[in-house]
Amino acid sequence: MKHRLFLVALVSLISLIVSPQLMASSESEVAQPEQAKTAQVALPSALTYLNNMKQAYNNLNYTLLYLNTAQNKIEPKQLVHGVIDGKRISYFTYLNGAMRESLQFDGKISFYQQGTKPYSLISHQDQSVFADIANFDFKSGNRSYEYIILGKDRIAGKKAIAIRMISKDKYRYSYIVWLDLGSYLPLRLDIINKSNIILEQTMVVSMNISHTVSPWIKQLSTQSTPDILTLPQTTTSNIAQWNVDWLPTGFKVIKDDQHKLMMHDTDPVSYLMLNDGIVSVSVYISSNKSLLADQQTIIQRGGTLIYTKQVNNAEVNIIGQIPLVTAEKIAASIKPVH
Amino acid sequence: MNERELDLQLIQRIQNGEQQAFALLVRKYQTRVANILTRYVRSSGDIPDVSQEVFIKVYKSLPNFRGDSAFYTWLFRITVNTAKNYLTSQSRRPPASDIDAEEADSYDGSGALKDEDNPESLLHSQEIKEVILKVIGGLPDELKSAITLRELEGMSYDEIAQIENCPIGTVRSRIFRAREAIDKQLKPLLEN
Amino acid sequence: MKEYSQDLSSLIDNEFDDQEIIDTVLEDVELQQQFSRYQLIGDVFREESDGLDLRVDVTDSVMAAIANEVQQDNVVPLVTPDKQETNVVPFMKRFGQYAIAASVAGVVVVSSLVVNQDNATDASSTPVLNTVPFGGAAAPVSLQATPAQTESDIKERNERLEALVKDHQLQLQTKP
Repeated sequence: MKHRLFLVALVSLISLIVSPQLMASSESEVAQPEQAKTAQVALPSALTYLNNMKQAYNNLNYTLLYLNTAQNKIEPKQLVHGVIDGKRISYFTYLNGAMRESLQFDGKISFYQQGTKPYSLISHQDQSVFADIANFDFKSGNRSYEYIILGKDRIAGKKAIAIRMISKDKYRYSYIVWLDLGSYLPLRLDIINKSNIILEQTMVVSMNISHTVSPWIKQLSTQSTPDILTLPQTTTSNIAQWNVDWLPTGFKVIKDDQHKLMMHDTDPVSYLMLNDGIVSVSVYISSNKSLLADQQTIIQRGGTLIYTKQVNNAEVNIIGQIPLVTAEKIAASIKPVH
Repeated sequence: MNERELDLQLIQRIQNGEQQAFALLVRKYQTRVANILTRYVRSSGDIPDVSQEVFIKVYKSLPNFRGDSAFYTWLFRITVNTAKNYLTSQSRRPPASDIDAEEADSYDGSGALKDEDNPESLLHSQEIKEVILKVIGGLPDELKSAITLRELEGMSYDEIAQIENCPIGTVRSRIFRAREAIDKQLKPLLEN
Repeated sequence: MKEYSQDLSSLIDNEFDDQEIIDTVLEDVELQQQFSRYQLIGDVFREESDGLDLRVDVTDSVMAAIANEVQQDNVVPLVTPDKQETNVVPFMKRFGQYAIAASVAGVVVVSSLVVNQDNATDASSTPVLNTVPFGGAAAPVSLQATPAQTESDIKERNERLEALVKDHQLQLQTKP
């Protein structure tokens, strides 16, 4: 099995370098029974790697030291992950500046920061750095993305393989993910736009894997966590109803409610969360316009977009890791329900 | 032998609480760190401060360093990161309306001095460099070749022994004798 | 002294794994300085010393700073056992605006930002702003003044943006 994987990786690597004609001849030398099926051969192998990554990311005990880069800013961070009696635990911290830590375990995530009171939230989805990519349903995700092995590389001193997830349309970003060939843990993730500009990068600089869960994190799991906070909800009465007519392929509405913005005693807004298995996008619709709506506002940081527009006499705010064109199209499709 | 070996021995000691061992890591890498910083830090007068910040960060993060990547790679990242933070903090500083006192010292209007380099220290450093390179140039061939293969090519004693066709012990002593000869001239320059 | 010097030379080249020499060096300032000089020779040879003041040695100041540091922060404990009060607390009641904001998102609001002319959008009607990043994901916000805006307008808009970003962050943390 290993051999075959390697061969396939090699073939797809060659395909990037040489012309189609050469490709055909190299394939016949390899004596594959089917001819010219490079795409079909490459797809399962990239898919296998990606599924191995999912397994590794969720099941191994590891510590990652990594850098997040967006625009000119680099943030060093650390993730410690373990599995205790089948339950995952993740500890996260910023390495520079004020202490900011979080701990996710047993359906809760707790936040600790220098100078403020710690608190917990009910949280069922893994919030750690590579979670959105690692937990993607790659198999059905091939409706939105194509997976291609780019080749081998060296990251954090490890032999790595680079896999590109290319968006099949212009409504989402593409990714390149590098996996450690030894453990299959993700080592680097680039978010790239359609011009191949890297919008954001996460790069592991040091990785440690252990057979058993670190005693330190095991100890953390036994300590009591701070109080759980609940997010307020508002009933639907008195709030105008809105429809979003257009969503990019693969996106679904996973939250639909009305609430006041956290900590701000604002008028309630209609809220939708859209998700395509990797990216989550918040859509806020408010009939009370704020000053933001005077003009269209576009704020971009790394891969994250904050978009504001006045639509049909309402203020629409869209936040998430999507291209501008997507936000524009979603906003334009919002209509009041009569 | 493993390239990182001394580093790992030292890191292990530090992780076992022997703080003093960190001094050797600083001694080993401070020039390289400063060299990286010159690409980011405009004013050479700030380099020692930023270097110090780098090493303190390294020390604080060392409990998390497990040795699967080379220490130098790790150090390099922290250095670049610190340098960039430094740049950010510099750019947030309000632009000074006047030349401040520090700058005024070197601002003689001629434009000959582009930054705040102290000409005397540069002259001295130039002298140190020249002495080192001169002594290396004048070494007997077998010493010159041994130190070059080691320092420039990064070869292990074993590899050098194979190239020079001599026992490892001879490589060991040749490299040492080369260093000893250079050090004899270098030491007084650093002491005044 | 001389016998140590050769061992020191080997140690630098990773060709000596006797712990004793490290012990000896750590106790001997003279040998440590020699260690530094041996390193310097290599650094100069590799041209890694250009533009540097080679007499600067930060070792002592670093070690002093570390000694200081160790006293005041012995590994920050993550969990200070919290006294069990009520379990569930309504979100808004409990927290001041900034406590939660900062800890959820690490939001940093900056007061002046560079306007980035993105040619994909109509720059005349659309300010595209760089913001200071936070967390692993989203971004904090601030709008820059255009001449027609008053200070309170900007403040109000920034507050609105900040509220949206914080809310988005919280929604991500608790997504189903």
